[in-house]
Amino acid sequence: MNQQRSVTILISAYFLFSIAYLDAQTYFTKEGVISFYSHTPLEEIEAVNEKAVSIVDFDNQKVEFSVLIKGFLFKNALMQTHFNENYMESDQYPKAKFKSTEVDLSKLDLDKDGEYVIPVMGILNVKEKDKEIQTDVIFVVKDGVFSARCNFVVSPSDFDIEIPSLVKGKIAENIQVEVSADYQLYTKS
Amino acid sequence: MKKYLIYLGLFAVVGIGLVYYYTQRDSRNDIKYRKAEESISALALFEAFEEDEEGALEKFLGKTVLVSGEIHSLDLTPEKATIVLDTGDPLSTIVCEMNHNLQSDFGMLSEGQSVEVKGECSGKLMDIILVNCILIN
Repeated sequence: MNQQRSVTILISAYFLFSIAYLDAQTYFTKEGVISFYSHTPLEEIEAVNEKAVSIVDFDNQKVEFSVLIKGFLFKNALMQTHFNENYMESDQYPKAKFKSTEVDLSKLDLDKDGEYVIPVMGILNVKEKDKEIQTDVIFVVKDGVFSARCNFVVSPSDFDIEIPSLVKGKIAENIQVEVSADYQLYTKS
Repeated sequence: MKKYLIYLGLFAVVGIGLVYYYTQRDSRNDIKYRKAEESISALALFEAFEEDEEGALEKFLGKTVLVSGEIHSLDLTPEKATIVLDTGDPLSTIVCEMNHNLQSDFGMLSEGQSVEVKGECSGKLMDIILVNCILIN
């Protein structure tokens, strides 16, 4: 009887631990930073958004980002207006999203401080157009929490964004994108 | 002839001045004078997005919105300020990114205080985010 009771307790503890373990395997941020830069001899354009949402889900091995287009802040107000109204049409397409298709998060050891370079492949969706992105993400682990940063290049043409010939020389064909985020454990209230 | 040249010169100066003014001025600061297209409580705005996000986007996205509510938290640095309004759901709040050119001193604010914030609705991720905001009271 005692042995049976011990086994029952052990099995219950295992399942309870599993549930807690599953709950503990999603990290998120609501303050991811996404910047983009366009450099040409005629114009330097840069914008930053500091309210990107991202999740890193260890159970399902996925990394996702979501950002509101109207949240990109430019130094020049007119540039910001043109960005939203003429190029991104943000009233019609308010968000850009990234969803990973391939990432091996098992390489990331949250119990061991250090830098981990993990390749991530996924789909970036802007204006309802998809582009495959491949980049190395640098995860930095410290005291059980982690941050991530990466960069990659996109072109306006990847998302069927037409640049008028009048301003073609002012907008780079290759736009540099930089992403950084500090994650915290997602806990259900 | 001389008179026409003077008028042409004046016209050119005025024209250049107007072009410079409209291209260089920060139109975001107009939020100070812009009338709110929608006035709503933080809780009602949250519920509108929860019940029908598409409908809420149609109603609020890109619009100047006056939101009233209690301060959930403040994120204040010398470079920027964010006022977060309570919705009852700590994972989904109303995030108000303040226009730092118009207002930069929010030291008098505290959590739990009732405020009114006017800003532009940029949509919803986990939070509903208003950008280019000013504190009304």
